[in-house]
Amino acid sequence: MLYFDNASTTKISDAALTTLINASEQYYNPSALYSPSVDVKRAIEDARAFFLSKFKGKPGSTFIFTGSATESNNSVLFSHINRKDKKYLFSAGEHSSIYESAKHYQNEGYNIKFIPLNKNGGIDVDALMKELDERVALVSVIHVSNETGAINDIKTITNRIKTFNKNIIVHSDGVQAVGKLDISLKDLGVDYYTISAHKIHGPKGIGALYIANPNKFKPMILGGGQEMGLRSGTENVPQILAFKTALNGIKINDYSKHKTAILDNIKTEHLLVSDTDCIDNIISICFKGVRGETIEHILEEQGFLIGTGSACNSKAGYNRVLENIVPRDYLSGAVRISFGADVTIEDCADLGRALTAAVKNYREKISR
Amino acid sequence: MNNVILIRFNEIHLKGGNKKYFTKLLLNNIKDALQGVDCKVENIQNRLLVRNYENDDEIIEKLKCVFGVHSISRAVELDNDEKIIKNYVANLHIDGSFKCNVNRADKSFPVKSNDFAADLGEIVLNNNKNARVDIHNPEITINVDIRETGKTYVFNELIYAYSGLPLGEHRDGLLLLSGGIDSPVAGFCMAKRGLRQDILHFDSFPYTSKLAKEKVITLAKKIKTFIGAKYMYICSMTKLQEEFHVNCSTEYAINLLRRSMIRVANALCKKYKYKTIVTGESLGQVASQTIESLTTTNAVAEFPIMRPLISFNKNEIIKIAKEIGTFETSILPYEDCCTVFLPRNPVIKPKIKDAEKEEGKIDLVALLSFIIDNIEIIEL
Repeated sequence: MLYFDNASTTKISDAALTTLINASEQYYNPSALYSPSVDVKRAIEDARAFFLSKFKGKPGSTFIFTGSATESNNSVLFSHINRKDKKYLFSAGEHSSIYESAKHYQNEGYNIKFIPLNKNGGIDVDALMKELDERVALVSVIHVSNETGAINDIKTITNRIKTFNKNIIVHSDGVQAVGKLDISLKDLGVDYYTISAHKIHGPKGIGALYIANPNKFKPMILGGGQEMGLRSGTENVPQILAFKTALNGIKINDYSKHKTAILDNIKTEHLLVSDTDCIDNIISICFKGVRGETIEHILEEQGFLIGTGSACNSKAGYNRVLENIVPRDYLSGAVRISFGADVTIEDCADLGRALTAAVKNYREKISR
Repeated sequence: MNNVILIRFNEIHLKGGNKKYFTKLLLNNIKDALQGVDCKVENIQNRLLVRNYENDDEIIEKLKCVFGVHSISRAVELDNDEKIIKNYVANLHIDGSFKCNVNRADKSFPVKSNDFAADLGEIVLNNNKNARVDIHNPEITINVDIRETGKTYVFNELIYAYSGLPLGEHRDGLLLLSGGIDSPVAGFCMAKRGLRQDILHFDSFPYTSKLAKEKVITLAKKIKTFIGAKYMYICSMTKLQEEFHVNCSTEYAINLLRRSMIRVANALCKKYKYKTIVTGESLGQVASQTIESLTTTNAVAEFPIMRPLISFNKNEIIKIAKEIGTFETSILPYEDCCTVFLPRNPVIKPKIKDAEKEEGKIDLVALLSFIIDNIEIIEL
């Protein structure tokens, strides 16, 4: 089975799995005072330092470990959405953990605005700039779209926002960017940055949040004061250490040939959402007159696991991100292909051919 | 004095010579329902009784789902002794309006029902300063049931169950379960009349998703307590639907599909000895449920088709679906096999002859044999 759904999750690496198992034996509570606990505590702090160095955090900044990227995202909104006279801006292409959370605050009466997207799923920067005024307190823009792979130029966006008003908090969800782009948080200039382990061959159930100014952050989870009081709950030591191993193991590969191999072999009418401003290993592509879900099942039977770009179902509604950028008759036929180092260029070409055959076959059978 | 749960049945009383058989069936079904719960179930002339239990709420919840049970009461068991009963009633704390009901099945009990009820009422009044008699609309009814077994049962509440008839020993029915709101309710309704059923589901993978199939399995597990199902058959209609779609009139797509479903059900009925097919159709609800459509479907049936919802409105069906806990699963948004190849203008008044003519355009016998051979069987 060839796995082409890495944007959904990735296979845990052998090294991360080994760390996870070995670290599970060091069961000591990092908060205790005896020496095995002190060792565990030190391992967490080493991991934190590694994250800060790897992502080039600014002086005074920190990382906190969370239960998921969803928690990281939610906690930023929890910390900063607190005044009804302020305005909070979000790209319409945010991951559901930001989008649904923002919707919740909107229903509570907060002034929440969603900024429209370009054709490739990236944020319309001009539209964002037009919304900036003295009321804006927070802007959140996903770094790489999980649906289309579109790269948002976070450095420029942050720079323009901070030039307008340096007090505006900027958050970026970097879950899909880690491992694909070289990230320097100091350069990006953001106040918060969310990352996740299971998208980079680490374990599930562990995320992290970069916090540029810890004294401005209001914790969402209170309790025993772990993570410098910013996120209580006994630290998930094995997962934190396995996350570190996964992060240490990532290599930024050039996947342009893989992408070309897929696209060159798609020889049937389609709409390619993921253009050249997208990362190479997430491809969102739509076919008129077919159902993405069915194509996914047909390909599974041929040994390819891909993702659907849309629920493509009249009852469930269409994919929220694609709905705004793709013509209606293409929506139900959206698929998402996302891959990693475990597939070869030839595998990609095979997928392109299989996809073409599946779509053609479907159209012949169904479209009467 | 023991705490017991009293179980009453009603329709079984009308069964004359078969009463014994039905009572035993009910007793066995109750024992099945209470499997794993610490308690003892007994048959005591015209009543069933649960004793030696710890969690009465759990038992009552389970008993409410057993067809044939009319009502349930938490009761106290005493000897048929005037003094003991009076003494027990004297210790009850009654606040508000009440009445006493006495049922004297044990004719050797010395005091007549009405006289004893009056005696007990007086005792209550003497011992509770806030108690007052109201025989028409009392807040509390003290029921005293004096049985021939030498035991008396005193209880207040009456918890109603679904009544009906106990599920039969054999799984005689085959329920066509789609994943929508109606078919689980149809299975429930037939089970209420004692029909034990297994389940047949039609699937159109890859046109429908695996999650759609999982949803139906969840539904099947939810209704299995009610309908007594043991097996679920999953039949892929994909090949057949593709053939119909390419070769036959699209207007007849649903009609041809439904006729084939009945043919598959026929085959399973013959193979596994089911005696009837159950569907969730309701007259006029959709194009495939007009009299003409049902007639074309019936034409291929070799076993009686039970359609318990035929006269139900959608709201009535939804009400039952919510009550039996299937509604939330039924409305999960996954396509079922009928929606994929759905024609824009399905025929509303199909004719048997035309349906047969359309079927003649493909090798139906070979295709049916293929899909029947590939049926997946799941033990629920």
